[in-house]
Amino acid sequence: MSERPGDADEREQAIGESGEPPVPDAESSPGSGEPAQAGAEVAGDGGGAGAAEAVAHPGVTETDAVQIPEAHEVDVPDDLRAEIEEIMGRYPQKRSASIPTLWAIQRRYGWCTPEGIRQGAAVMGVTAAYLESVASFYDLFHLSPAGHHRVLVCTNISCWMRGGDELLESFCAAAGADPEAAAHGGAVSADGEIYVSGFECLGACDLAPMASIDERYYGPLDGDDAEAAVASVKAGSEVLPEKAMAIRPAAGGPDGEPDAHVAG
Amino acid sequence: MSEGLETRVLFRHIDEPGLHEIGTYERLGGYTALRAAFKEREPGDLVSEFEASGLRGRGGAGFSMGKKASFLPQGDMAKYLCCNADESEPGTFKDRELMFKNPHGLVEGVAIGAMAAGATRAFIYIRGEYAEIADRLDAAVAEAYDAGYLGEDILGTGIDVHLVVHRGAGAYICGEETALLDSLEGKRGNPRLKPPFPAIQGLYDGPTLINNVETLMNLPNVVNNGADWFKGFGTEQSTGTKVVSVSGCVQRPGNYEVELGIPSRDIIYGLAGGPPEGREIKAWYPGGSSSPVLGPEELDLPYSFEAMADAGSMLGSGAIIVADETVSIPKMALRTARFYQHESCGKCSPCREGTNWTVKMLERVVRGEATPMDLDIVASVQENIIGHCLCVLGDAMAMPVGSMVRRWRAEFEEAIASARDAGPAPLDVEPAVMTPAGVGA
Ligand SMILES: Cc1cc2nc3c(=O)[nH]c(=O)nc-3n(C[C@H](O)[C@H](O)[C@H](O)COP(=O)(O)O)c2cc1C
Ligand code: FES
Repeated sequence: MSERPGDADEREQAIGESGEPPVPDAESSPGSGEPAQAGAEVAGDGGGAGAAEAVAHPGVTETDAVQIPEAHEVDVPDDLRAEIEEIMGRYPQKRSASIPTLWAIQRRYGWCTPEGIRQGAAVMGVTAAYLESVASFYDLFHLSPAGHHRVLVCTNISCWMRGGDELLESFCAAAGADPEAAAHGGAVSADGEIYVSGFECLGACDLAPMASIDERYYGPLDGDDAEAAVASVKAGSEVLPEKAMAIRPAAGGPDGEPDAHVAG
Repeated sequence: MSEGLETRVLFRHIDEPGLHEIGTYERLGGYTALRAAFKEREPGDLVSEFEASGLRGRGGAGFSMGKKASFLPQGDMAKYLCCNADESEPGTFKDRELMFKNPHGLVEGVAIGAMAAGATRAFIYIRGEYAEIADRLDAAVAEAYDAGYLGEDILGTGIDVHLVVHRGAGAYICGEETALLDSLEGKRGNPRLKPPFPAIQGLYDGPTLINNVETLMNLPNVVNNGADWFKGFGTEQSTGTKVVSVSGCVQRPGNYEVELGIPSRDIIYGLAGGPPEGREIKAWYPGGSSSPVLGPEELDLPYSFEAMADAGSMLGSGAIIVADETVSIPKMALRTARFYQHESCGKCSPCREGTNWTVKMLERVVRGEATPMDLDIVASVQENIIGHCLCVLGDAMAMPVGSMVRRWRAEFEEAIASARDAGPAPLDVEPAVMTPAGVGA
């Protein structure tokens, strides 16, 4: 669901480098005749689901036996292997570790690199194609390089009513990212540092318009905040401390004051 | 416990400094319910008490919590409890505040729910975007293990409950209970065909109880105070309190805990401050973006499961989104439809194609390229989605969009005409935007 133009090429290239056979994806799967956003998504899900089905029982089919990377063939950093093994131990069935494993890979490499996926697959004992098909389903996994910092700007109903679209543009301007691409699946800033994406409701409509910056929530934000936030992110300093969700009291209660941010 | 229109039960100590730490939580009475449940109560008797309390699911469907727990088969098999903390329904942010500020309240609720259901393994499936909330939960779970409230032989009772916080990775559909199970099993989050229902065959094919965060957080209070106490709040069919998320065009957006059944107007105006000075409410979603949209006429209805259903809508997740007179209904419908188009998993054609079609048609409306007849097509597409898919994601678009086209049809026709007269215009130009500083200005 996080497909965007450019993904396929970069991925295929990257896959080629790692010597892994290409995996069906949104743009290259048969029947994805329509380049539109939704068309690609639909085709992507179709193609991906097929891939998922084909490997639904690793270790059972012959192809799987061939495709599961042999642990000794793949060079997995020790700490990553230990982390994934610890994750698998939490669940009655090791396959439940797919999403946490992908998180571990993305944390380590910045995105779900083909080599990272191969490493995760080798430790989990599933095919790389399986793990990639899972990754491609979820918006927060990146299958192509996605900057060092992530800014998700909500443009869903409540944020839209309060200027979410404009906030997204402000972040794009501040970061130097293409607003059109950011509104349709995400864009990396020209300097490769910051990934900016319009996003569905982040579950913080009380902060509207709001954004998630490196996994922390902030709001309500205006254009100046966007600029300040991008500057802080780049400088490595604390981001908008007074706008952090974490410090916000519940709305009502004995001290229920009109919200200074919105009552203006 | 009552602060004017609010009735704070779950929110009783919500802003107490350090509530997220076990020491403070215990000092304020935390984990007494867990002690009582594990040491003095039987699972069957707890399930009956939950059923008697009338507690209904807070995640959307409003099904009796106790009844659902009673559907799990008895006997010595591996059973599971999954707490649904995916909270992705637009407009909904109650679980976020509950979990972030009171993570032990959820841990205690999950442990009690698991014990009552006979589940020895429990999972909290939390949406991936809630990273800072998940960190808090992880810390609380670790503290609870250390204190002996989780793990093996809890408080010497011989009962085990293991709890894992499982982070999702961004997919609304994973809030749907069977998609959640697939996702938790490490697959793409596609919904399953029901029946079998999860209570019979759920996670790893074992009997599984799935409940929302807020539902489970009510359990300690029911254990401590009894079903009759719980029924003392709310209406006959909607017992207890509800944390209501109010957002959109209101002066004080936020979560407010109220007794179910108080007038909706009291929540929207009395608590959330109503729309900015001088503006009128035009429309409101009573239960998240999936609920059919209501108008000013319904503001005096009680905020309860039954009153919202009678009005043709639903209480859903308890999230009120308010639109005032400056908001264009066709554009709001388009915003709504786009969400479901993006989040459709693509498995069922009516949903996949229907959400896509609806977005395209609404874009034509907003661009002035549609004819009034096209509105009939939009309406019929909605009818053809409802009831035709594995899960109700498609219905969740069809209901609000259908309601808007029916109720505000004149505005849709006007939008078509005026956009056509104005000539080609970029799609996303919005008229009156409520920037934070601009509200009421
Ligand atoms: C598309 C879709 C999304 C859903 N999202 C959520 C969600 O984010 N959180 C939630 O608790 N329930 C959600 N539900 C409802 C769940 O399927 C399920 O009914 C609920 O978790 C049961 O818990 P409860 O009985 O305590 O409400 C969703 C349902 C659908 C169809
Ligand atoms: S609409 Fe933006 S966080 Fe919910």
